[in-house]
Formats: sequence, structure tokens, C-alpha cells
Amino acid sequence: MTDKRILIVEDNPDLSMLTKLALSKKGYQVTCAGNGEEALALIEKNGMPDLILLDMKMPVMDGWEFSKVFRERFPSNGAPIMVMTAAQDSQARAREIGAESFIGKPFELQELFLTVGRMIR
Amino acid sequence: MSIKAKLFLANILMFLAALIPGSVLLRSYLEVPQSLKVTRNIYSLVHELTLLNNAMVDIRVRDIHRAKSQWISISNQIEEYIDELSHTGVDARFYNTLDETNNLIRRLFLGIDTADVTTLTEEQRKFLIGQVNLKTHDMIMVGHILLSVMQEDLQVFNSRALQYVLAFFFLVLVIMILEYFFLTKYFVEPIIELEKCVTDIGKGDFDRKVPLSEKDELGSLSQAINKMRKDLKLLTRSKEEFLSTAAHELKTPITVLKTTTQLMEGMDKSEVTKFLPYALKTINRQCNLLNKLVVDVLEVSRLELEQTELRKSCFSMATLVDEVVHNMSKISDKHSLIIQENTSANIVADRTRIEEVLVNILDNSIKYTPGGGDVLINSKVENNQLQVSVSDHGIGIPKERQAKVFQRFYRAHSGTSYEQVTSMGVGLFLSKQFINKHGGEIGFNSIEGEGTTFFFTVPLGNQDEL
Repeated sequence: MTDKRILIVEDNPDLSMLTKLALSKKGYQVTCAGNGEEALALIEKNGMPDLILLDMKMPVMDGWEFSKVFRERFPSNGAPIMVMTAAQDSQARAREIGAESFIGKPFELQELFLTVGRMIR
Repeated sequence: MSIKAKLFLANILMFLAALIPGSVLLRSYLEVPQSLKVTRNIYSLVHELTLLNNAMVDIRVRDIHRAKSQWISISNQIEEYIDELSHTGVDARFYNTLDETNNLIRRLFLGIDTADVTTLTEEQRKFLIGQVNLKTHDMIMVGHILLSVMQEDLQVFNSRALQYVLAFFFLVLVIMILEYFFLTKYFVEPIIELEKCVTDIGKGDFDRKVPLSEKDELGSLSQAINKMRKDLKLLTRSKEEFLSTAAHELKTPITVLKTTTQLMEGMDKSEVTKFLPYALKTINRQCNLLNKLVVDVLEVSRLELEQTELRKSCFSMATLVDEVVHNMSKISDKHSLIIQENTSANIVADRTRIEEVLVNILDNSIKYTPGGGDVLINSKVENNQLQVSVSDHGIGIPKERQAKVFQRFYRAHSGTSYEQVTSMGVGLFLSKQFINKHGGEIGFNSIEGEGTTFFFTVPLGNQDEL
């Protein structure tokens, strides 16, 4: 069991909900945001999580904008970002915004657990 | 053979065609010296005088008559020639000498009476013959001198004629070369340029702009090619975008389905029982979403192949509006879909397609009113036409993007933060095609930042169509 905290930023409520369920079962403390703006508000309110799972295409504030604002606001103490996208080349997306890690949709849960586990140690 | 080579050959042919008759004509128009025109006469004069002279050498008494009559005819001719010569600008001394000698010989002959011939002594006869011989000889000499003078004239004339012909040749050559370069620059090179551009465009280089701007047919051709290139570029890019968007959109529901099943795999029986209702609802919802995506893709390709056929039936518009609004209300709890006016009329149309139009419009209204709020729906019948309108107070459509809203694969807010997951940019394109297919119209009024009102009309139709 761990008390590591993960913030999921994903606009599809079903996927957000399912990922939260899966990660919670592994003992992580998971919160969800529907877009970048909500995510920033949540970080403001609850403090910096240990990992951010970030979808790219979202309404109101998308992944690109979020990562820009996030890095401006937290240049040194920001949590690592893990990009979670259905784009053809998820690695390129991750590189674009300088994210620490990435996972392509659709993903295997085992893969998700492994990557998340590697990011939070 | 390339156009340039053909043009070059044609030029050579034209050069020859112009040169040969040109130089012949030129020569005939050159001014021939008058003296040359009488050369032939001088020749025959010299010839006849020589004959006469030879005949006189062994003349006998009885032949004097013949010699006299022969001389008289020659003498007349000589007078004509001298007259002609005097008009040619030949030195006057020549024809004066000829004239004098001619008269002298004539007097010699005239002095001889026919009757006296027999009385002529041998001495007298010899003198006469000798005199005539001498004078004729003089005339022949003058004739030869004249001929040699004329020979010089001829040479001068010939070399001058050659100069003219050479000058003409050079002029034609220069004109031909200029013409060749003109034709090459203004006709052949643009065509070669066009050919290169079209080849490049054909290979997929859609940024290859055709650089011609002349206001002739080649100019309009290149403009047409440029337009085609832009259209192709747009279409190709739209298609690529559509494909990648479609793949992206399809992956989202698949991810949800996959995650659901994987989660359930790791659950024990009691957990599964608890999770099942949610799972079933989710699976159902994602399947519907997948279905809509696939149907949209199919409709687009069907429209491209022009295979779309309306399946008309008679139905109540009010029921359709109620159903759609009921289903769509579940999507968002921030938005209220309010039916202000709902017609009671029945309509003969393709129910599925009309439903899709309404769903697409409502979907857009909800999507582009991110803060939530009221969406107002009106349906009524006017002029035998069903009129439906949907108004929101959302973000509106920027003026510069309004013209493209109904284009295929176009998303007015593409790349902005309002981009939604379930959007392939075909909804309004399909809606317009469906409404037009029904003989109706679709349009919108929108002010950026204030909201948008979409409306469409469909003819009520009648039962006979079924």
C-alpha cells in the first residue's frame, strides 16, 4: 500500500472513472479533473500530486495549454507528467510538451501499472 | 521530339521558304543597267558584221548587188541599234563612231549604180571592197570594246546583287532567330514550366505554385492549375486529417471498453456483481458512440460515391424532437434543452437523416456552450415547409470561419481549446447534404461571443411519395 497521489486529467468521464478505479485498487490516491483548468484548480486546492496523467485533446484547456501553464507556474517543484493519448505517435506528443513519460490509448492495465509504478518510486 | 526541337525545325523550314523565292524576287527587282539590256543586240551586230566582212573578202563583180542589198538591211538594223545605244548612257563616242562608219559605208554603196557595176574597173572594185572591209572592221572593233565595257557593268551588277542577297539572307536569319527566342520565351518555356509544375503536383507536391501570371490563355490555364492544386491540397490534407481524427476518435471508446473488461478480469465475484450495472451502461454507451462514428464515416464515403438515397416515411416531427431532446439531455447536466414551440404536423422525409441533423446541431450547441445554459428549440410549419431552429448563447463562430462551417472535415474551432473528443468535422457537412437532398435549406446566424442560431427547413412532402 502507498499514499502516493495521482491526478488524472481526462475529459472522457468513463475513462477517467475506470482509470481511477484501477489505480485506486493498486492503492494510489486518485483525483480526476475534466480539463486543464480544473486540474490547475485541484492542484491549487489539494497541493502537488506525485504524478499527473494527462490527456491531450480536451475542451476548455487542452493538454498543450495545461502543460505550458503548469511549467510556468511550477518551474522546479512540478510533478512528472505522463501523457495519455490516442494520437498515432504518443511519444512525439510527450516530447512536444516535455512530459516525462507516455502511454498510448488503448492501453493494457498492466502497462499502465508498470509505467505509473516506474514514475512514482 | 521536344517542342523546342519542333519549333527549331519549323523555323529552318520557314527560313528556307522565305529565302529561296525571296532572293529570286529580290534579284528581279534590282535595277539592271540600261547598257546590259542592249548587250544581246551588240552581240548580233558584231556577229552579222563579221559574216559580212568575211563575205566581202572574196567578193566578185556579180556579187556586188547581193552585198549591197545585204548591207542595206544590216545598215537599217545598225541604225536601230545605235538609236537604242544612245539611250543607254554609253559613252557617246561609241555610237557616234558607229554612226559615222555606217553612213560612210552606206555612201560607198549608194555611190554604185547597178548599171555601172560592170563598168567598174578591177582597181575601183578592190578599192570599194577594201573600204567596206576597213570600215566594217572598225565597227566590229567598236562592238568588241562595247562588249568588254558591258562585261564590267555585268560584274559590278552581279557583285552588287550578291551583296543585296547576302544582306537579305542575314536580315531573314536575324528575324528568324529573334522569332525563335520570342516563341521559346513566351510560348515554349511557359508550357515546359507548366508541365513541370503539373508533374510535381501529380507527385503530391501541393506547395508547387505555378508561377505564370500573364493575362493570356496560358495565364488562365496556370490559374486553373493553381486552383486545382489548392483544392487538391485542401482535400488531401482534410482526408489525412479525417483519417487520423477518425482513428483517434475510434480509439477512445475502444480504450474505455478495453479498460472495463480488464478491470473486470481482475475482480472477484462480489466485485463483478457490484460493478456490472455500471459496466453494462458504459459498454452500451461506447458501442453507440462507435456506431455513430462508423455511420458517419460510411455516410461521408457514400456521399462521395453519390450513393446516398433517402428512405422516406411519414412521421410526427413533434415526437422526433421530443425523443432527440430527451436523449440529448442526458449528455450534460449543465445544459437545459428547452422546446419552446413544437409543431403538430406530420412530415414525409427520411426520419433517420432528419434525426441525425437535429442531433448534430444540438450536439454543436452543447459542445460550443462550454459554460452551460439554455438551448432553445423551435419547430413550426410555414409555407408548406417545416422550419426548425436551435439557439444557444455559446461562444459563437468567428466571422472569418463562418463560410467554411459546412465544408467537409472542417471544424470551426479546430486547434482551439473547445475541440471535443467526439468530433470528426463531418456533422454539419452531412447535415447540409441531407437537408439539401430533401430539397430544404440549412443555415445559421452567429455572433462571436454571443451565440449561434442554426435553422433548417424541410418541405412537408406528401404521402404519394411513399
